[in-house]
Amino acid sequence: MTDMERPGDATDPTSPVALAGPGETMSGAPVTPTFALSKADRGGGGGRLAFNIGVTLVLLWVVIAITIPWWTPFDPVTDQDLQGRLAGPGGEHWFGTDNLGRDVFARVMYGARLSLPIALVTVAVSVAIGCLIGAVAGFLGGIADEVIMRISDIVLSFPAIVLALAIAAALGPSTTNVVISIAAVTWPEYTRLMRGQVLSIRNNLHVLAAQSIGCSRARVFRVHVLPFGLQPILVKATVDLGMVILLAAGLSFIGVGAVPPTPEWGAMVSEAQSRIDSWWLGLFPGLAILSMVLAFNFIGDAMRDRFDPQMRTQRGKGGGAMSRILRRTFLGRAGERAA
Amino acid sequence: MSTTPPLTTGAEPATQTPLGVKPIFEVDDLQVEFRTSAGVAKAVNHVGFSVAPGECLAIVGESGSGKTATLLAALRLLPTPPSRTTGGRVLVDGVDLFSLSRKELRDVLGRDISMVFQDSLSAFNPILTIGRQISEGVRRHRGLSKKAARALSIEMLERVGVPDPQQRVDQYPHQLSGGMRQRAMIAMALAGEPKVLIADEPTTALDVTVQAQILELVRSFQDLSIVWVSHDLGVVAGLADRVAVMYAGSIIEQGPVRDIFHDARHPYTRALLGSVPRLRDPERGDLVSIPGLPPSLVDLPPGCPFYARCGVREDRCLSRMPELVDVAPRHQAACFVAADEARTA
Amino acid sequence: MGLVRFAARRLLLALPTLLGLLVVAFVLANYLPGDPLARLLGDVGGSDPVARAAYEKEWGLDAPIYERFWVYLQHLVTGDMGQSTLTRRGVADDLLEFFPATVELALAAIVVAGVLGLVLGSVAAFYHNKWPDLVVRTIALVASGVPVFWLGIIGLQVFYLRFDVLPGPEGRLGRDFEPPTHITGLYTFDALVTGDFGTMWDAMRHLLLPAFVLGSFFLGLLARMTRASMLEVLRAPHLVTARSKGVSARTLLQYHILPNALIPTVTVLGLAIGGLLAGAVLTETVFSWPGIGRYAVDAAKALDYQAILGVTVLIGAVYVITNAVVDIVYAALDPRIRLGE
Repeated sequence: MTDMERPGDATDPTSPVALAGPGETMSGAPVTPTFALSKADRGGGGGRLAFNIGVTLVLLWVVIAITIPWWTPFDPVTDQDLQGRLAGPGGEHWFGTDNLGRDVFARVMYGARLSLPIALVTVAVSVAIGCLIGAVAGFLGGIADEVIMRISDIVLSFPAIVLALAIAAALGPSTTNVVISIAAVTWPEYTRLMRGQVLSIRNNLHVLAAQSIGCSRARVFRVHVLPFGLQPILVKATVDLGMVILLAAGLSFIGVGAVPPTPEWGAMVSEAQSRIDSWWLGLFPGLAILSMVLAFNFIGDAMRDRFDPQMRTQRGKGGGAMSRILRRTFLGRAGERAA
Repeated sequence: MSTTPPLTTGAEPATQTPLGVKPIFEVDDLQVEFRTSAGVAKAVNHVGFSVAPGECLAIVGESGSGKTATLLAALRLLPTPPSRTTGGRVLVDGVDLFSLSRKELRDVLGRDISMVFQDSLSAFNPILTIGRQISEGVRRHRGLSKKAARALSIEMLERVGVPDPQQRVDQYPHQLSGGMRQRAMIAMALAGEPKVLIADEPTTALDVTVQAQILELVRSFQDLSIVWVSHDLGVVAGLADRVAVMYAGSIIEQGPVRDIFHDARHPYTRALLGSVPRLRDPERGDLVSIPGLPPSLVDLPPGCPFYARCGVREDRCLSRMPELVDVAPRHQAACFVAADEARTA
Repeated sequence: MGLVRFAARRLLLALPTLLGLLVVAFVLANYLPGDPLARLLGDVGGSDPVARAAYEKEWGLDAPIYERFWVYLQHLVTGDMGQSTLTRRGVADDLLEFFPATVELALAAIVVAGVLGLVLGSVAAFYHNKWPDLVVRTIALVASGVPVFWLGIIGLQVFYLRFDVLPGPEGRLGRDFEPPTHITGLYTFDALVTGDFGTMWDAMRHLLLPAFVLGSFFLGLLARMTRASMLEVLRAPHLVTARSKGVSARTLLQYHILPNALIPTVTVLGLAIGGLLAGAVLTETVFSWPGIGRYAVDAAKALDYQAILGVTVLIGAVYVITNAVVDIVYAALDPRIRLGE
């Protein structure tokens, strides 16, 4: 798929006698020597289809998380059957049983009841704190801005999992502390994003216009800035839902997150480590994590392609797809400073 | 038409090519298609023109009319896919480019014919110095040493009027101003001493004063054959010997520059000239746009592509595309009505 | 020169970040719960007031936190990072012992991810929208969401349990091998230098799966980036210009395609170092790899605050410094960064 030459593309406003006025170009004529990359080529997942797959997967998990107690006969923690322990998949136990004879299928499905809320709450906390601080930094400017940005720089210069590990260890292993420790290392990314948005939007004409007619600062922010700043944040938050699930599972795997016998995916993979010949113990919770992360990635990618006007109009300029992936992957960490 | 041409025609276009001189650059019946998601777009349809030694031919048309595609396809520079050259012949000094191997083609490009592009920032490789890029084509063509190549780059920069060429030669494209960069690109195109220079809207991205300087520079190359692509009629009037007007992938009128500006025959050309704003004419202060849109190249009608927007259309225009016919000496138009008028005149 | 000034400025910028990092880690570690002294000094010493007082005095534990930080800084400058309650050794000694294992693993992972990522990404770009492209894109997609600890276990189940072609999670060497003479601490390198090829081979076999697992995320990332930047460069206007000059195919590839496409990719490769150190926390746990990642996990679980502090500072410092170095390398390669746009 080749992007069409946009109307007015070659019309130079400075040319005194330009032939083609806006809207006078021809559709269906890609005649410039460069050809804009299609969405799929920019590293995105393939547009609409990916988005639909992502949404379907997430919805499926949500439905499972809500309804699971009604359609599995097994309790993920208490239904132990030492006679039938470590049985392979098949028959009554679709995903087999673990070393206490618990139904792995039930445990994996119940895991969604843990991972989804953890992800949602963590991202919500991180977004709320990060955006608030970022907005303050962007609006106040001066020393406050400088101090806030230096602090967030420092937090960002720790690898997330190492810092989260230290915090989670300090607080003690529990699901709440997973939320706290991950939020504590991810907020600066939103701070940077929000500050950048505020700074760029603040100077937009419509904001200046609002200020010039005497709108209060608070009103300018609420009505004219916030809605515009939210789009990239929403995109990032979506992708981060997957990232948080990954990180939380990692913490639980190490042993500083959710503790057994909680049916948490990372903890389940950790248990599987000592029963490595029972492949079903680790395989299914891992696939659950993977499906969740990919689903949120798909949705986030599709949203980004929709929202990001820069991406849509980027033509032939170096670094379009690259910087997008960079930004996306390092999420405001190292990559942003290098780019 | 009662009004004079919009801008003075500059240097007297008296160097009109005598008939019968062998053209240095000739495009014959060129056809190019693009595969798009909407279908196959016929971007260039049976386009033919020729340029005599020392002559400047301007190709004008709206963006999307196929000017750039014609020239890139002629030099085999269009990416394939999505483009496909389905027919035609291109001769540079008698050599058919389409019959050459890739390697033989590279011997012709940059040596016999070279090209200047519109956006000088993206047309230069951002991570190589200006000097390197000016001479790299010639280094291969003439087997120059590094030192000789550098000397050549400096000389070329000097010739196109870049100040401090010794310093500029080691700088990177982003360090030059737009005007300087465009000069450097012209230096790059001329480094191989080509016979033909193709300039694809080289002044469009520049502001008016710089544009004038670049035009002055190009006018000073008297022996060079130039194909100048533009949608800017003012520039064309002051520069070209002949003008070819493209619409929807076809040349619909071509002739000497005076004829085109004073005695245009094709209704599209007339409409174009009518849409040029004139400072000195208070009656026509506004830019008059031509009502309607060009046809989609994916779904070209069998007849005249201008039919839908034409003021003098007739039923016969719907059935078949009119061919370019002489309407005046060395002046052709692709219009049934114009052809009839010429016959009865 | 532009580059020297750029480098100096960039390194200078890293200094305050390093200091801030130290502060954050220190404050954090100081709020770990529990009585570190009791654990550090053991059952007997913990209740011995004399020993407690002596230790408290050395590290200024009874002083306010900013004074303690000052004391810690003074110790740090001399290479003393305090005592680990877990290993009952100096933290600096621990780190010195475990760090090479992590470095070796991370380097191997970079090689795996770098080579495969660049090759796969280029292949995908050149076969754009054909089946190799689809395969690479699928791999890259999955790699971006796969939990490394899970991938490690699946890898072990396949290559160790099922096919028995690679060693199990037994660390850096098999039971029959002794570590080579310590030169750099990187077993493969040390064994190669000392001519101990049997050990080198065994070390490489032990390295392969962990390196692949650790590098998987960056493999996917690099493949995606290489593909995207290749595609971008292949359509870049400057390529048309170069071709219009009639340069040779080799010049085209060597000067106009590869450098432009690979500069950003190489940069990411550098940035990967920091990410790999972090990933080592999980990978090392799976493979019983005796590196600082596992040390960090053990220390965190034991609330060994000097050790956590030491590891965090080390990893953070490597992170900050590699980022600075990567920026400088990027500037060296791309004049637009070096000379300002």
